[in-house]
Amino acid sequence: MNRWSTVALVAALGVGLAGAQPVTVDPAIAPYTKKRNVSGNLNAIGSDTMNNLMTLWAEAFRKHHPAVRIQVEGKGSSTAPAALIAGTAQLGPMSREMKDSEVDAIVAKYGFEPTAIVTALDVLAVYVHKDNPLRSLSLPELDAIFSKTRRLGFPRDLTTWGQLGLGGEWATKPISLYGRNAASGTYGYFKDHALGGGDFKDTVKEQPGSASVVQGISEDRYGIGYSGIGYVTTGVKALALAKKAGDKAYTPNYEDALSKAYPLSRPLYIYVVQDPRKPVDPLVEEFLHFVLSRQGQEIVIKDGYLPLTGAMVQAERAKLAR
Amino acid sequence: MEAARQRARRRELWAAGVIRTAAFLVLGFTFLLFAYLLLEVIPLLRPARLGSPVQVDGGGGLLQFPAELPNSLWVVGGNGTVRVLPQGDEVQLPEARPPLRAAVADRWGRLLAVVDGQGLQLYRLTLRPTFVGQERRLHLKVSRLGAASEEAVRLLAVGGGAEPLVVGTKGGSTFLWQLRQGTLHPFPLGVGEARVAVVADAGDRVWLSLRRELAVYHAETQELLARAPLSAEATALTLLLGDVTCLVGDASGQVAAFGFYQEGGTYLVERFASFSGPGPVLALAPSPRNKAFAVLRPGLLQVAYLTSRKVLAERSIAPEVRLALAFAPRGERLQAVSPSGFVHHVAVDLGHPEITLRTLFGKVRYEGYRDSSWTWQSTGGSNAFEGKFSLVPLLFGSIKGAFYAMLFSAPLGLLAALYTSQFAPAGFRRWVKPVVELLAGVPSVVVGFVAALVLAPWVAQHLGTVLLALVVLPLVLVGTGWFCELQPRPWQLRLQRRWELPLTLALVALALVLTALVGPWLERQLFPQGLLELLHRAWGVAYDQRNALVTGFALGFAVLPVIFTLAEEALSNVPESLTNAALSLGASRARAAWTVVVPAATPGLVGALLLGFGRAVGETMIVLMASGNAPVLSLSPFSGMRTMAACIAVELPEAAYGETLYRVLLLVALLLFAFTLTTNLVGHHISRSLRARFGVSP
Repeated sequence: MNRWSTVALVAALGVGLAGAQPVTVDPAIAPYTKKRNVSGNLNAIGSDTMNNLMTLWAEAFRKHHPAVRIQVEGKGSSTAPAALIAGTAQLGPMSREMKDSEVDAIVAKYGFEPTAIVTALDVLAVYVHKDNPLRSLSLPELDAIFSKTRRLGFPRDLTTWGQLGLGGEWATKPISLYGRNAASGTYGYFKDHALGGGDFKDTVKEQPGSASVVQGISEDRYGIGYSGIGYVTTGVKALALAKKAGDKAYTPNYEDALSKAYPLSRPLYIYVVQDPRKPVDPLVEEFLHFVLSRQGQEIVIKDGYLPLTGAMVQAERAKLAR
Repeated sequence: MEAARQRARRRELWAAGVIRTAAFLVLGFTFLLFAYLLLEVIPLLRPARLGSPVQVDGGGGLLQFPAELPNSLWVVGGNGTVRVLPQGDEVQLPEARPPLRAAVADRWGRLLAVVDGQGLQLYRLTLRPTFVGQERRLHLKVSRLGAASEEAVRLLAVGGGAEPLVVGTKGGSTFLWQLRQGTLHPFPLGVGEARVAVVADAGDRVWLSLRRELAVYHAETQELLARAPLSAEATALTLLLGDVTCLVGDASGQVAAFGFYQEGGTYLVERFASFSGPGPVLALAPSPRNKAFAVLRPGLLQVAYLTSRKVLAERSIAPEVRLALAFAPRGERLQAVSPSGFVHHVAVDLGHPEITLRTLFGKVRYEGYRDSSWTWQSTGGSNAFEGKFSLVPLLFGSIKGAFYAMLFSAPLGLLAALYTSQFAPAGFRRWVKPVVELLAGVPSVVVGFVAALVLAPWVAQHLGTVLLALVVLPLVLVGTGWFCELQPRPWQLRLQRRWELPLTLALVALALVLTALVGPWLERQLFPQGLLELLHRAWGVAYDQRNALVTGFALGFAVLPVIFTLAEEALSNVPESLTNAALSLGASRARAAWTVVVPAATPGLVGALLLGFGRAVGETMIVLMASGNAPVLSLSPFSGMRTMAACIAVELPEAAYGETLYRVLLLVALLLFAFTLTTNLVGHHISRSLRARFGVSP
């Protein structure tokens, strides 16, 4: 039975949030209206997390502008800055913020900083096996489970489920750790926000993709791991998280991610190299306007991520208006 | 006839030419690959460089700090202004009452505290490069955060980013000023007059030194968290990026690195590294990009790196330069100031400072670690992360994976080869060889997938049975042989002809079924709380589902065909005349095989094992999926590993071109390449020497 959950996983990929009522786009976000007709080539190189999203946006955008050719390449967030510098891409989708060293390289080439447009939100969930009775964790506990440096100040190392208050057969079982591969945006985000910038334990099993983390946990009764909420399956359970011991724990849902009550949510960016002395390239501008429109944000939901609010869209549009 | 022969000859020549060209092409490509890897790795050796100092007139002032544009800086003047140089515009500090008596900035030049006629003033500075026409200029914004009316304050430090703090001394004791609703409130720290201090970026901790002691205070409660003795009085104090390591420079010329640790609710400050140099330490400055820092001594400027414990570069500087050492915001330039107001800019190029032989292969005590260790953890989420590039866990992982793979595949492969070449009926060999070679054609990603998602959970649930089978199966096989040996000779011969193989297979199947039935029962009887739990409790062995046992088995699957094919070939190449001679002298088949064939074929068998080992070390997909990729240093069959090949596969796609991680991963690739190339060459050479011995054309 268990191994069929892998099949279930494939079926469940891209399904939205666990449990919560369906997420809808903020009615304050205006539908897309063409400013002008554009044509030409648009290249996007960057995040693999956003690969699907970019492709869906590109397909829908081309319905409005059939003369535009869009190529999307998603090998990893780290490929975006290099492509922007080389000029091989106009859009750099990234699932993390650009590192200072990457910004340095762009400034060295162009003389100005890149512009980061927030296009969607992603929520990271901490998963355990579906049979695990645990319901919630605090961030310091999570840190003590995953990290050898325990920067968030939990007094001792956590290695068995019993130390988290589970009884019965769980009490003496060691915790089996799953994580994303080093250098993925998810890995870096988790390190900074759940481990306080500290180091992972050497025993974390690094999986080459978000889906394989969830797969691993659904096959490992004593496993725990982190991955995007879009990858949830019936074989795993997403834990509620509290910022500090004793605080209220929140499940990963849209409202609590927006209000930051749930601590692990991150923006998904598209970086563009926009010379502040010049008007925005019309093709790039049209595309980003589409992404920040109601249609664009509906695609975000369809792909398993969370849409921006009206106010956030306003702020992002303001970055383009010059 | 003659024409046909000539045509055949021409065709032969042509074919030989093509083959030779192809061989040279392969050789050429291998060489090119090697050269490419080498060229990408060599820049790791690029030394750090400090440019020669460029001197500009800073026009006096209380404080100078480097800014983002080339050779730009801002200067706090005694008249209560901040001037941006070289562009020359000036901003008045709001509500400051000149003349200013002192000014101090945080490590990154974002907060500024000044002492004016009234007391203490705190400002936040934002400097952003903008375009004015085609020219890039710095736009300076100053906002006033708060003030306190104090007299005769000596400023020591300001910092804390979002929750700013000021540290200073007054009337012989040390105070902390916290910002609450626009007012700075003083809180005594309950010690004497500190000489130097630094505030953590998170605004949670204050480090200071007085007399021969280093102390850490909690900012909110002013509670002393920990302290440590110093060997000499501190002259400079700073925190490296990330606020984990505090550097203390003293008059004896030593720079010591102290770490802050918490253990079971108590705190501890401990020295874990030191750097020495000529002359007293005048100033220290941390890099905003990594774990590098600058040290200013009389007439000498040095740049050192924490992880490698190395002074990367040094440059002599005018001896009167004694002040205001700081890195520019992007870490590419250092600035120091002489009392006469002359500013010295020094360009900094660090190279790849975290890579030395010691950090690659030796034990290092990293920031926040209580012990030195071999650790591989290459990436973090921000610049404050200290890269850990020890290759030892990767080398260990590769060898561990290959070892467990050989544990499965070597006995199986060699014995199967021996059986096929010496004992099996003639027809058997004809179909078993292609089948085993077909096995080699199974895509390794499929093997890895099955191992990780089907085999690994299954083994975890039935560990007792699996271990029992590992003991029972060899015993059954040996036992069967022994039983046959005991039978009278005619019976033996009859058995050998017809029933040997079916009988053995049947017995193995029977043993497996029995093990599967008895195993769980036996496990319940022997280990009532479960075997995994016993392992954990009695020996502290954590059973990981993705472990060396599972990986070794899956990897063995990939290696088996290599070993089998080559060993079988080696054994079959032993001339039949040798075996026949032994048999005619009355030796049994087994005896002939053991004493004549195996010794004669030994080099070939060794070659087969070496090539199998090389294949196991280089295999990527199976290990990537089944091993868990955890860079642990444990020999246990129940823990995972991270091999060189899997590490490259996992990390290279996300490594930015030219950065340290990228080059280190290519160094790993180079090591892997050299290793497999060597084992393959040696393996082939040994096999060939065997063929030559028996006059078989290679």
